[in-house]
Amino acid sequence: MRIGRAVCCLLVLLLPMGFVFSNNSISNASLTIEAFKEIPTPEGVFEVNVSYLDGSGSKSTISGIGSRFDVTKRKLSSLTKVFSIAIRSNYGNTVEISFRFGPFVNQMNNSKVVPASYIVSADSQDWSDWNLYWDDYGNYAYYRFKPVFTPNITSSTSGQLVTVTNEEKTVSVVYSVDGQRYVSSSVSYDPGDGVISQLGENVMESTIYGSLMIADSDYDGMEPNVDYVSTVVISMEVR
Amino acid sequence: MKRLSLCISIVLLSLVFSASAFALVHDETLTSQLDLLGFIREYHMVEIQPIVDETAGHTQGYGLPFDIMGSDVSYRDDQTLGRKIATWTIASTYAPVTIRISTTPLENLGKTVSIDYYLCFRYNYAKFDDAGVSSESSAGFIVVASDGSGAGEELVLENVSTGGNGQIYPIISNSQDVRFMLFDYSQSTKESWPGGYYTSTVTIEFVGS
Repeated sequence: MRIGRAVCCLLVLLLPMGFVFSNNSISNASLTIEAFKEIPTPEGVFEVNVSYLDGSGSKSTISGIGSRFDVTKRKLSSLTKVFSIAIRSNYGNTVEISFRFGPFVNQMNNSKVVPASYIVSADSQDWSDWNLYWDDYGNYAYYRFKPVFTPNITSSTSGQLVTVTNEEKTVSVVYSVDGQRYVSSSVSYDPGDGVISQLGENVMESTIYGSLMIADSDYDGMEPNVDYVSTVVISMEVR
Repeated sequence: MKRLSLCISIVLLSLVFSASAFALVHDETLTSQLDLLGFIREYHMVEIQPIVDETAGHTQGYGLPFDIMGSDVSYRDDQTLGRKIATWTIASTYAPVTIRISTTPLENLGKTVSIDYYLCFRYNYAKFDDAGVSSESSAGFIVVASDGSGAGEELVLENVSTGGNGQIYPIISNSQDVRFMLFDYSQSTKESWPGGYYTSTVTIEFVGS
Protein backbone atom coordinates (compact mmCIF):
# COMPACT_ATOMS: atom_id res chain seq x y z
CA MET A 1 0.00 0.00 0.00
CA ARG A 2 2.81 2.38 0.90
CA ILE A 3 4.55 1.51 -2.36
CA GLY A 4 1.36 2.36 -4.21
CA ARG A 5 1.14 5.75 -2.58
CA ALA A 6 4.78 6.45 -3.27
CA VAL A 7 4.38 5.69 -6.96
CA CYS A 8 1.35 7.93 -7.04
CA CYS A 9 3.25 10.83 -5.51
CA LEU A 10 6.20 10.31 -7.81
CA LEU A 11 4.05 10.46 -10.91
CA VAL A 12 2.35 13.64 -9.78
CA LEU A 13 5.64 15.27 -9.00
CA LEU A 14 7.17 14.36 -12.35
CA LEU A 15 4.29 15.76 -14.33
CA PRO A 16 5.24 19.47 -14.13
CA MET A 17 8.83 18.59 -14.97
CA GLY A 18 7.57 16.89 -18.05
CA PHE A 19 6.17 20.18 -19.26
CA VAL A 20 9.49 21.94 -18.74
CA PHE A 21 11.49 19.43 -20.73
CA SER A 22 8.96 18.39 -23.35
CA ASN A 23 10.19 18.25 -26.93
CA ASN A 24 8.15 20.70 -28.96
CA SER A 25 9.83 20.08 -32.30
CA ILE A 26 7.11 17.87 -33.83
CA SER A 27 3.85 19.31 -35.04
CA ASN A 28 1.07 17.76 -37.08
CA ALA A 29 -1.90 19.08 -39.01
CA SER A 30 -4.56 17.50 -41.17
CA LEU A 31 -7.16 18.55 -43.68
CA THR A 32 -10.22 16.82 -45.06
CA ILE A 33 -10.72 17.55 -48.73
CA GLU A 34 -14.39 17.70 -49.64
CA ALA A 35 -15.52 17.39 -53.23
CA PHE A 36 -18.60 16.36 -55.10
CA LYS A 37 -19.88 15.32 -58.46
CA GLU A 38 -23.29 16.63 -59.23
CA ILE A 39 -25.94 14.00 -59.57
CA PRO A 40 -27.51 14.43 -63.00
CA THR A 41 -30.31 16.93 -62.84
CA PRO A 42 -33.71 15.38 -63.45
CA GLU A 43 -34.15 17.00 -66.83
CA GLY A 44 -34.45 13.78 -68.75
CA VAL A 45 -36.91 10.99 -69.05
CA PHE A 46 -36.77 7.97 -66.80
CA GLU A 47 -39.95 5.96 -66.75
CA VAL A 48 -40.47 2.37 -65.76
CA ASN A 49 -43.63 0.38 -65.81
CA VAL A 50 -43.66 -3.02 -64.16
CA SER A 51 -46.60 -5.29 -64.95
CA TYR A 52 -47.66 -8.90 -64.99
CA LEU A 53 -48.00 -10.45 -68.38
CA ASP A 54 -51.65 -11.23 -69.04
CA GLY A 55 -52.17 -9.83 -65.58
CA SER A 56 -55.35 -11.00 -63.97
CA GLY A 57 -56.35 -11.25 -60.36
CA SER A 58 -58.49 -14.28 -60.98
CA LYS A 59 -57.24 -17.73 -60.09
CA SER A 60 -59.39 -19.21 -62.83
CA THR A 61 -57.63 -17.36 -65.62
CA ILE A 62 -54.97 -19.56 -67.09
CA SER A 63 -54.16 -17.90 -70.38
CA GLY A 64 -50.77 -16.38 -69.85
CA ILE A 65 -49.88 -16.43 -66.24
CA GLY A 66 -50.80 -13.24 -64.39
CA SER A 67 -50.26 -12.67 -60.73
CA ARG A 68 -52.41 -15.61 -59.59
CA PHE A 69 -52.61 -18.94 -61.29
CA ASP A 70 -53.86 -22.41 -60.55
CA VAL A 71 -51.10 -24.96 -60.88
CA THR A 72 -53.60 -27.81 -61.15
CA LYS A 73 -54.64 -26.31 -64.48
CA ARG A 74 -51.28 -25.16 -65.71
CA LYS A 75 -47.86 -26.14 -64.55
CA LEU A 76 -44.85 -23.98 -65.24
CA SER A 77 -42.56 -26.81 -66.15
CA SER A 78 -40.62 -24.60 -68.57
CA LEU A 79 -39.60 -20.98 -68.28
CA THR A 80 -42.65 -18.76 -68.74
CA LYS A 81 -42.66 -14.99 -68.87
CA VAL A 82 -44.57 -13.69 -65.89
CA PHE A 83 -43.72 -10.00 -65.64
CA SER A 84 -42.17 -7.24 -67.71
CA ILE A 85 -40.40 -3.96 -67.08
CA ALA A 86 -40.84 -1.30 -69.72
CA ILE A 87 -38.10 1.34 -69.62
CA ARG A 88 -38.07 4.72 -71.31
CA SER A 89 -34.95 6.71 -70.54
CA ASN A 90 -32.54 9.33 -71.79
CA TYR A 91 -31.33 10.21 -68.32
CA GLY A 92 -28.08 9.52 -66.49
CA ASN A 93 -25.26 7.21 -67.43
CA THR A 94 -26.70 3.81 -66.68
CA VAL A 95 -29.66 2.19 -65.01
CA GLU A 96 -28.96 -0.72 -62.68
CA ILE A 97 -31.90 -3.02 -62.13
CA SER A 98 -31.69 -5.53 -59.31
CA PHE A 99 -34.05 -8.45 -58.88
CA ARG A 100 -34.44 -10.26 -55.59
CA PHE A 101 -36.19 -13.56 -56.06
CA GLY A 102 -37.72 -15.79 -53.43
CA PRO A 103 -39.22 -19.29 -53.35
CA PHE A 104 -42.96 -20.00 -53.14
CA VAL A 105 -43.93 -20.04 -49.48
CA ASN A 106 -46.88 -21.98 -48.08
CA GLN A 107 -49.19 -19.37 -46.54
CA MET A 108 -50.43 -21.80 -43.88
CA ASN A 109 -46.98 -22.95 -42.89
CA ASN A 110 -44.11 -20.65 -43.81
CA SER A 111 -41.54 -23.38 -43.29
CA LYS A 112 -42.89 -25.21 -46.33
CA VAL A 113 -41.51 -23.78 -49.55
CA VAL A 114 -41.52 -24.74 -53.19
CA PRO A 115 -38.34 -23.99 -55.13
CA ALA A 116 -38.61 -21.70 -58.13
CA SER A 117 -36.28 -20.80 -60.98
CA TYR A 118 -36.15 -17.34 -62.53
CA ILE A 119 -34.39 -15.71 -65.43
CA VAL A 120 -34.42 -12.18 -66.76
CA SER A 121 -34.15 -11.54 -70.46
CA ALA A 122 -34.66 -8.91 -73.12
CA ASP A 123 -35.67 -9.15 -76.75
CA SER A 124 -32.82 -8.94 -79.22
CA GLN A 125 -31.98 -5.27 -79.39
CA ASP A 126 -31.29 -3.66 -82.75
CA TRP A 127 -29.98 -0.28 -83.69
CA SER A 128 -32.51 2.53 -83.85
CA ASP A 129 -31.92 5.53 -86.07
CA TRP A 130 -32.23 9.01 -84.73
CA ASN A 131 -31.54 12.57 -85.77
CA LEU A 132 -31.17 12.47 -89.54
CA TYR A 133 -29.64 15.75 -90.61
CA TRP A 134 -27.31 17.46 -93.04
CA ASP A 135 -24.06 18.43 -91.39
CA ASP A 136 -22.04 21.59 -92.06
CA TYR A 137 -20.23 19.94 -94.96
CA GLY A 138 -23.36 18.89 -96.79
CA ASN A 139 -23.05 15.29 -95.73
CA TYR A 140 -26.08 13.29 -94.84
CA ALA A 141 -25.58 11.94 -91.35
CA TYR A 142 -27.47 10.22 -88.64
CA TYR A 143 -27.00 8.80 -85.20
CA ARG A 144 -28.09 5.38 -84.19
CA PHE A 145 -28.33 3.83 -80.78
CA LYS A 146 -29.09 0.49 -79.25
CA PRO A 147 -29.65 -0.64 -75.70
CA VAL A 148 -26.89 -2.61 -74.05
CA PHE A 149 -27.39 -4.94 -71.12
CA THR A 150 -24.64 -6.11 -68.83
CA PRO A 151 -24.52 -9.06 -68.60
CA ASN A 152 -25.90 -9.63 -72.05
CA ILE A 153 -29.42 -10.96 -71.60
CA THR A 154 -30.58 -10.54 -75.19
CA SER A 155 -29.58 -13.91 -76.60
CA SER A 156 -31.64 -16.98 -75.91
CA THR A 157 -28.80 -18.75 -74.18
CA SER A 158 -27.65 -15.84 -72.06
CA GLY A 159 -28.99 -14.63 -68.80
CA GLN A 160 -28.46 -16.16 -65.43
CA LEU A 161 -30.92 -18.81 -64.36
CA VAL A 162 -31.51 -18.38 -60.67
CA THR A 163 -32.95 -21.29 -58.75
CA VAL A 164 -34.25 -20.36 -55.35
CA THR A 165 -34.76 -23.24 -52.99
CA ASN A 166 -34.93 -21.41 -49.69
CA GLU A 167 -32.89 -18.22 -49.30
CA GLU A 168 -33.65 -15.26 -51.53
CA LYS A 169 -31.20 -14.57 -54.35
CA THR A 170 -30.36 -11.38 -56.17
CA VAL A 171 -29.25 -10.70 -59.74
CA SER A 172 -28.46 -7.35 -61.33
CA VAL A 173 -28.61 -6.01 -64.85
CA VAL A 174 -27.04 -2.75 -65.96
CA TYR A 175 -28.76 -0.95 -68.80
CA SER A 176 -26.87 1.51 -70.98
CA VAL A 177 -26.81 2.50 -74.65
CA ASP A 178 -24.29 2.23 -77.42
CA GLY A 179 -24.21 4.94 -80.06
CA GLN A 180 -22.74 5.48 -83.50
CA ARG A 181 -22.76 8.29 -86.03
CA TYR A 182 -22.82 7.59 -89.71
CA VAL A 183 -22.08 10.09 -92.48
CA SER A 184 -22.93 9.72 -96.15
CA SER A 185 -19.29 10.12 -97.12
CA SER A 186 -18.91 6.65 -95.58
CA VAL A 187 -16.96 8.06 -92.71
CA SER A 188 -18.26 6.64 -89.52
CA TYR A 189 -17.16 6.50 -85.97
CA ASP A 190 -18.40 5.46 -82.61
CA PRO A 191 -19.14 8.32 -80.19
CA GLY A 192 -18.03 5.84 -77.64
CA ASP A 193 -19.15 7.03 -74.25
CA GLY A 194 -22.18 4.78 -74.13
CA VAL A 195 -24.09 6.80 -71.58
CA ILE A 196 -27.81 7.06 -71.83
CA SER A 197 -27.82 10.83 -71.63
CA GLN A 198 -26.10 11.02 -75.02
CA LEU A 199 -29.51 10.32 -76.49
CA GLY A 200 -30.29 13.97 -75.94
CA GLU A 201 -33.83 14.71 -76.97
CA ASN A 202 -34.46 11.11 -77.97
CA VAL A 203 -35.68 8.41 -75.63
CA MET A 204 -34.61 4.78 -75.75
CA GLU A 205 -37.25 2.20 -75.01
CA SER A 206 -36.61 -1.37 -73.90
CA THR A 207 -38.38 -4.18 -72.17
CA ILE A 208 -36.97 -6.67 -69.72
CA TYR A 209 -38.89 -9.83 -68.93
CA GLY A 210 -38.89 -12.00 -65.87
CA SER A 211 -39.59 -15.69 -66.42
CA LEU A 212 -40.51 -18.35 -63.92
CA MET A 213 -40.27 -22.14 -63.81
CA ILE A 214 -41.23 -24.70 -61.19
CA ALA A 215 -39.89 -28.21 -61.67
CA ASP A 216 -42.48 -30.94 -62.18
CA SER A 217 -41.22 -32.89 -59.19
CA ASP A 218 -41.84 -29.92 -56.89
CA TYR A 219 -45.58 -29.86 -57.53
CA ASP A 220 -46.05 -33.21 -55.84
CA GLY A 221 -45.45 -31.87 -52.36
CA MET A 222 -47.80 -28.90 -52.64
CA GLU A 223 -50.80 -28.93 -50.37
CA PRO A 224 -54.13 -28.49 -52.15
CA ASN A 225 -56.25 -25.39 -51.56
CA VAL A 226 -53.36 -23.52 -49.96
CA ASP A 227 -51.91 -20.35 -51.42
CA TYR A 228 -48.22 -20.29 -52.22
CA VAL A 229 -46.71 -16.86 -52.64
CA SER A 230 -43.36 -15.85 -54.02
CA THR A 231 -41.96 -12.35 -53.78
CA VAL A 232 -39.89 -10.58 -56.41
CA VAL A 233 -38.38 -7.28 -55.36
CA ILE A 234 -37.24 -5.06 -58.21
CA SER A 235 -35.13 -1.99 -57.52
CA MET A 236 -33.81 0.46 -60.08
CA GLU A 237 -31.04 2.98 -59.68
CA VAL A 238 -30.04 5.63 -62.18
CA ARG A 239 -26.37 6.47 -62.12
CA MET B 1 -3.99 9.13 7.78
CA LYS B 2 -1.63 11.83 8.94
CA ARG B 3 1.00 10.45 6.61
CA LEU B 4 -1.42 10.57 3.71
CA SER B 5 -2.40 14.17 4.51
CA LEU B 6 1.25 15.10 4.75
CA CYS B 7 1.97 13.43 1.42
CA ILE B 8 -0.89 15.27 -0.31
CA SER B 9 0.28 18.57 1.16
CA ILE B 10 3.79 17.96 -0.14
CA VAL B 11 2.41 17.14 -3.57
CA LEU B 12 0.33 20.31 -3.68
CA LEU B 13 3.25 22.43 -2.55
CA SER B 14 5.46 20.79 -5.13
CA LEU B 15 2.93 21.50 -7.84
CA VAL B 16 2.75 25.15 -6.89
CA PHE B 17 6.53 25.39 -6.72
CA SER B 18 7.01 23.61 -10.02
CA ALA B 19 4.47 25.80 -11.78
CA SER B 20 6.09 28.93 -10.40
CA ALA B 21 9.53 27.68 -11.36
CA PHE B 22 8.33 26.95 -14.87
CA ALA B 23 6.95 30.46 -15.20
CA LEU B 24 10.16 32.01 -13.91
CA VAL B 25 12.40 29.99 -16.18
CA HIS B 26 10.11 30.73 -19.08
CA ASP B 27 10.23 34.48 -18.42
CA GLU B 28 14.04 34.56 -18.15
CA THR B 29 14.41 32.61 -21.40
CA LEU B 30 11.99 34.99 -23.05
CA THR B 31 14.08 38.02 -22.14
CA SER B 32 17.35 36.39 -23.08
CA GLN B 33 16.14 35.28 -26.48
CA LEU B 34 14.78 38.71 -27.23
CA ASP B 35 18.22 40.21 -26.66
CA LEU B 36 20.28 37.66 -28.52
CA LEU B 37 18.22 36.20 -31.34
CA GLY B 38 15.45 38.64 -31.99
CA PHE B 39 12.50 36.32 -31.55
CA ILE B 40 10.27 35.93 -28.59
CA ARG B 41 10.52 32.26 -27.84
CA GLU B 42 11.07 28.91 -29.40
CA TYR B 43 8.20 27.74 -31.50
CA HIS B 44 7.36 25.00 -33.94
CA MET B 45 4.02 24.67 -35.64
CA VAL B 46 2.23 23.64 -38.80
CA GLU B 47 -1.32 24.58 -39.60
CA ILE B 48 -3.57 24.06 -42.60
CA GLN B 49 -6.79 25.98 -42.99
CA PRO B 50 -9.43 25.00 -45.56
CA ILE B 51 -10.97 27.75 -47.61
CA VAL B 52 -14.71 27.33 -47.50
CA ASP B 53 -16.82 28.02 -50.57
CA GLU B 54 -20.00 29.21 -48.92
CA THR B 55 -21.84 30.16 -52.08
CA ALA B 56 -25.05 28.21 -52.58
CA GLY B 57 -23.97 26.59 -55.81
CA HIS B 58 -20.31 26.36 -54.82
CA THR B 59 -19.46 28.80 -57.58
CA GLN B 60 -16.89 30.85 -55.69
CA GLY B 61 -14.11 29.51 -57.89
CA TYR B 62 -11.83 28.47 -55.04
CA GLY B 63 -12.09 26.60 -51.76
CA LEU B 64 -14.03 23.55 -50.55
CA PRO B 65 -16.08 21.72 -51.58
CA PHE B 66 -15.55 21.68 -55.32
CA ASP B 67 -16.95 19.88 -58.33
CA ILE B 68 -14.58 17.14 -59.50
CA MET B 69 -15.88 17.64 -63.04
CA GLY B 70 -14.83 21.31 -63.04
CA SER B 71 -12.10 22.55 -65.38
CA ASP B 72 -10.37 24.24 -62.44
CA VAL B 73 -9.37 20.85 -61.00
CA SER B 74 -8.67 19.07 -64.28
CA TYR B 75 -5.14 17.99 -65.11
CA ARG B 76 -2.54 20.38 -66.48
CA ASP B 77 1.10 19.79 -67.25
CA ASP B 78 2.08 22.35 -64.63
CA GLN B 79 1.13 20.63 -61.41
CA THR B 80 1.76 23.72 -59.31
CA LEU B 81 -1.51 25.12 -60.61
CA GLY B 82 -4.97 23.86 -59.82
CA ARG B 83 -7.75 25.03 -57.58
CA LYS B 84 -6.79 26.85 -54.40
CA ILE B 85 -8.46 24.89 -51.59
CA ALA B 86 -6.54 25.79 -48.45
CA THR B 87 -3.71 27.79 -46.95
CA TRP B 88 -0.97 26.40 -44.78
CA THR B 89 1.53 27.91 -42.39
CA ILE B 90 4.79 26.54 -41.07
CA ALA B 91 6.89 28.28 -38.46
CA SER B 92 9.84 26.87 -36.59
CA THR B 93 12.93 27.84 -34.70
CA TYR B 94 14.01 24.22 -34.91
CA ALA B 95 15.29 24.58 -38.49
CA PRO B 96 16.25 22.76 -40.56
CA VAL B 97 12.83 21.14 -40.61
CA THR B 98 11.46 18.05 -42.31
CA ILE B 99 7.98 18.12 -43.85
CA ARG B 100 6.21 14.85 -44.54
CA ILE B 101 2.85 14.91 -46.31
CA SER B 102 0.57 11.94 -46.84
CA THR B 103 -2.71 11.90 -48.70
CA THR B 104 -5.46 9.41 -49.44
CA PRO B 105 -7.32 9.30 -52.76
CA LEU B 106 -10.74 10.88 -53.02
CA GLU B 107 -13.43 8.31 -52.34
CA ASN B 108 -17.19 8.43 -52.56
CA LEU B 109 -19.29 7.43 -49.58
CA GLY B 110 -19.71 3.87 -50.81
CA LYS B 111 -15.96 3.65 -51.46
CA THR B 112 -16.68 2.26 -54.91
CA VAL B 113 -14.52 4.84 -56.64
CA SER B 114 -10.99 6.00 -55.84
CA ILE B 115 -9.75 9.17 -57.53
CA ASP B 116 -6.11 10.23 -57.42
CA TYR B 117 -4.89 13.79 -57.43
CA TYR B 118 -1.96 16.11 -56.94
CA LEU B 119 -1.63 18.64 -54.16
CA CYS B 120 0.78 21.53 -54.46
CA PHE B 121 1.97 23.13 -51.23
CA ARG B 122 3.67 26.43 -51.87
CA TYR B 123 6.04 27.97 -49.36
CA ASN B 124 7.82 31.28 -49.04
CA TYR B 125 10.01 32.31 -46.12
CA ALA B 126 12.34 35.21 -45.45
CA LYS B 127 16.11 34.78 -45.61
CA PHE B 128 18.48 36.80 -43.40
CA ASP B 129 22.03 38.03 -43.69
CA ASP B 130 24.73 37.72 -41.03
CA ALA B 131 23.38 40.72 -39.20
CA GLY B 132 19.90 39.19 -38.98
CA VAL B 133 18.45 41.60 -41.48
CA SER B 134 15.92 40.20 -43.91
CA SER B 135 17.65 40.13 -47.27
CA GLU B 136 15.61 37.96 -49.66
CA SER B 137 13.07 35.16 -49.65
CA SER B 138 13.09 31.49 -50.50
CA ALA B 139 10.02 30.34 -52.42
CA GLY B 140 9.17 26.90 -53.70
CA PHE B 141 6.59 24.17 -53.65
CA ILE B 142 5.99 20.55 -52.75
CA VAL B 143 3.86 18.51 -55.13
CA VAL B 144 2.33 15.42 -53.57
CA ALA B 145 0.56 12.63 -55.49
CA SER B 146 -2.19 10.76 -53.65
CA ASP B 147 -1.01 7.42 -55.03
CA GLY B 148 2.46 8.01 -53.59
CA SER B 149 4.03 8.11 -57.04
CA GLY B 150 5.46 11.60 -56.63
CA ALA B 151 8.77 12.57 -55.11
CA GLY B 152 7.46 15.39 -52.96
CA GLU B 153 6.14 13.51 -49.98
CA GLU B 154 9.12 14.60 -47.87
CA LEU B 155 11.11 17.81 -47.98
CA VAL B 156 13.80 19.32 -45.76
CA LEU B 157 13.93 23.09 -45.47
CA GLU B 158 16.68 25.11 -43.86
CA ASN B 159 17.34 28.78 -43.46
CA VAL B 160 21.06 29.51 -43.39
CA SER B 161 22.35 33.08 -43.35
CA THR B 162 22.83 34.61 -46.78
CA GLY B 163 26.15 35.88 -45.43
CA GLY B 164 29.00 33.58 -44.60
CA ASN B 165 28.74 32.93 -40.89
CA GLY B 166 26.44 29.87 -41.18
CA GLN B 167 23.88 31.24 -38.78
CA ILE B 168 20.63 29.20 -38.81
CA TYR B 169 17.48 31.29 -38.78
CA PRO B 170 13.85 30.35 -38.13
CA ILE B 171 11.57 29.38 -41.00
CA ILE B 172 8.30 31.24 -41.21
CA SER B 173 6.09 30.58 -44.24
CA ASN B 174 2.73 32.13 -43.61
CA SER B 175 -0.63 31.36 -45.28
CA GLN B 176 0.69 30.00 -48.55
CA ASP B 177 -1.49 28.31 -51.18
CA VAL B 178 -2.48 24.66 -51.24
CA ARG B 179 -3.72 23.75 -54.71
CA PHE B 180 -5.58 20.70 -55.96
CA MET B 181 -5.46 19.01 -59.36
CA LEU B 182 -6.76 15.64 -60.57
CA PHE B 183 -4.65 13.04 -62.30
CA ASP B 184 -4.92 12.99 -66.08
CA TYR B 185 -8.23 11.12 -66.34
CA SER B 186 -10.11 10.78 -69.64
CA GLN B 187 -13.49 12.40 -70.00
CA SER B 188 -15.19 9.02 -70.28
CA THR B 189 -13.58 7.92 -67.01
CA LYS B 190 -14.78 11.06 -65.28
CA GLU B 191 -18.27 10.53 -66.58
CA SER B 192 -18.28 7.00 -65.20
CA TRP B 193 -17.75 8.28 -61.65
CA PRO B 194 -21.00 8.22 -59.74
CA GLY B 195 -22.50 11.46 -58.54
CA GLY B 196 -22.30 12.26 -54.87
CA TYR B 197 -19.97 13.40 -52.11
CA TYR B 198 -16.25 12.61 -52.07
CA THR B 199 -13.68 13.01 -49.31
CA SER B 200 -9.98 12.58 -48.77
CA THR B 201 -7.58 13.15 -45.88
CA VAL B 202 -4.32 15.05 -45.96
CA THR B 203 -1.86 14.74 -43.08
CA ILE B 204 1.21 16.91 -42.57
CA GLU B 205 4.00 15.99 -40.19
CA PHE B 206 6.39 18.81 -39.40
CA VAL B 207 9.58 17.74 -37.62
CA GLY B 208 12.24 20.08 -36.32
CA SER B 209 15.89 19.28 -35.92
